[in-house]
Amino acid sequence: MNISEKSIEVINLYKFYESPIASKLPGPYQLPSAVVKYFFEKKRKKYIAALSDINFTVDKHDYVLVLGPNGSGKTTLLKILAGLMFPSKGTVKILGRKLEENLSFVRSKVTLISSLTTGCALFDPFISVEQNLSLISELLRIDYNNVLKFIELLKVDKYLNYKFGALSTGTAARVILALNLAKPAEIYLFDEPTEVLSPEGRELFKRILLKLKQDQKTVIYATHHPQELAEVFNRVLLLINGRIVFNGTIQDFLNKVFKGKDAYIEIEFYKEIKRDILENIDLPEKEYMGKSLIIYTNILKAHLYLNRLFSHIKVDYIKSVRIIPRSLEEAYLTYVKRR
Amino acid sequence: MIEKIILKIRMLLCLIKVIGRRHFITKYAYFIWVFPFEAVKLVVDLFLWFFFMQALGGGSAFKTKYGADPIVYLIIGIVVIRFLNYNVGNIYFVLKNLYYSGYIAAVQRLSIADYLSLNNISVGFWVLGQIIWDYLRIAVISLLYLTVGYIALGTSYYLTLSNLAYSLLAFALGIIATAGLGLISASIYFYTGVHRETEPIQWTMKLLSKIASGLYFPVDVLPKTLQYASLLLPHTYTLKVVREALLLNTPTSALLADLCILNIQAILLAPLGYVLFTRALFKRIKLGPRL
Repeated sequence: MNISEKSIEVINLYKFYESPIASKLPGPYQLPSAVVKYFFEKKRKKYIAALSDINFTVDKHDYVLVLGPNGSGKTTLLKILAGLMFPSKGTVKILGRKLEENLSFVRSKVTLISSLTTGCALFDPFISVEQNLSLISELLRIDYNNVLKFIELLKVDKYLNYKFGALSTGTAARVILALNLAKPAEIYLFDEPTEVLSPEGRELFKRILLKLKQDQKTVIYATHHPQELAEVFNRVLLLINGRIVFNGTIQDFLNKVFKGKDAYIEIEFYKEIKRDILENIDLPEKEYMGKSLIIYTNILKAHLYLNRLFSHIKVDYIKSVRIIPRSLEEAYLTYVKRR
Repeated sequence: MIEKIILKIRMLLCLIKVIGRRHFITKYAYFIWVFPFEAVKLVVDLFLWFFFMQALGGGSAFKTKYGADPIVYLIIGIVVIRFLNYNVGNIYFVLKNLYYSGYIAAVQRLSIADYLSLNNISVGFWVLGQIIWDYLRIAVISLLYLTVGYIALGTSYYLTLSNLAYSLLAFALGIIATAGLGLISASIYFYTGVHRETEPIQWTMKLLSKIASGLYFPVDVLPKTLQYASLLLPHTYTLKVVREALLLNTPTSALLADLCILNIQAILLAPLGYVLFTRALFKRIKLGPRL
């Protein structure tokens, strides 16, 4: 069998939705209104583009972060890649096969783990976690032992006898996450899955991500908090208003946003330094506020600027010096604000 | 080919088993609690009808003309209409439960249908499994009703082979025709995007089936306009054939005309329902959840 080296290929993808504007009519008038709309206003239907001109490829074993403001099309993109929606235009290939023509194949290789803030439609709140998991895994043909394995990994095994409805939001989210992770797949699509998890939960989830990386799976992960996962991922796909505005490595993204100045030096003084002294020192972009000075720099050149600074200012005046790499989250925010 | 069919049947049976198990765990745990109340309600309903008939002079004239006590007449009507109206209404509700969960948090939440799709389980298969399971449930309740008619009221059913065969044929055709109506009704849900309150096709069918199909009283006592309306309903023909065969032992040749009309309704409604329904499902996956 010819299996492509590319996990995902997306070519000229567009996705249109019907206008999301709600009817101003009260409930009882919506049915006749909908019927009239269907039969008489077909041509006047308005569509909005959720995704426009999307082109990218994901190689096997790539770890891609999908970033973008709310409503930028991240979830729509992931749902299309999972075969839950079809594109309005364009081509999507999963492991070399066209999505629409190979739905069954795609769904056997891809899994989508969605936001868990609103729970999972399949769970019944009045029966135990164990009963729920056993029923759902039987229904979805997922190996129950595998579910239990993830339940242990996410440390929720002690809640197996609890009523599902009695669990806290974060615990319920971990249970659902365990169920979702138990479906074996080649390509994992995550849509803000850690939204309601506590820091310990996120840490456990990060370990699972690293394990998936070890197993050479392909992962696409949409999030609003990229920093906590930056070290796990190697690529960034930035969506704004349904269009890809950046597609490349995390380092390239940082370089593009910060123009090479990927760190800053934060210096705190015991007393205020005269501004003209600082102005005379040959330093790159800097900000001086009261007793502190921030120098934006390339991390490899930080020592040069510190040497220059120390040659002009006595070390006794300096309370502390910190060199801080600039974060992916900061880069994302800076980029979005600029646009 | 045969292997594939056997595999599909096995998968369907497994699905029905899980749906049944889920029902038992999530709903029938309350059965023991609910059963006495439901049983008393059933008996009271039947007595109400019985006393009503007594007040109007008893059911002997009715029995001579229609071959059974009015209560038995009613029981057969309830059993048949329960199946047919399940078809008209519940495909819509099975689908609503499948997709509604996807609407609560806009696009972000996955519906049951999404979970099934992600795990390569066909939505159609799920709907079929759910419907078969519900048929089994209704069959058990219907048997209870028929047994009450047989034991408590001493009804004699004409259970000859030909009568049973014709009744079952009429019943099957009625099921197919009303399944067609059910599929049309379910597709309206997708086409109009209305997923709350009344759906017009099932509303009309359920309303007419109560008054014009002969469920509670024979069609020939109705005003002419309602008699005309009754001609449109698959329920009317199904009930007529089943009652005439089982209660009056009518010669089979006299039932052929009704079976023929039922057959035409089944041939027209089932494919129309199927086409509209599959197109609606395709539209759903093409346009996404914001229908």
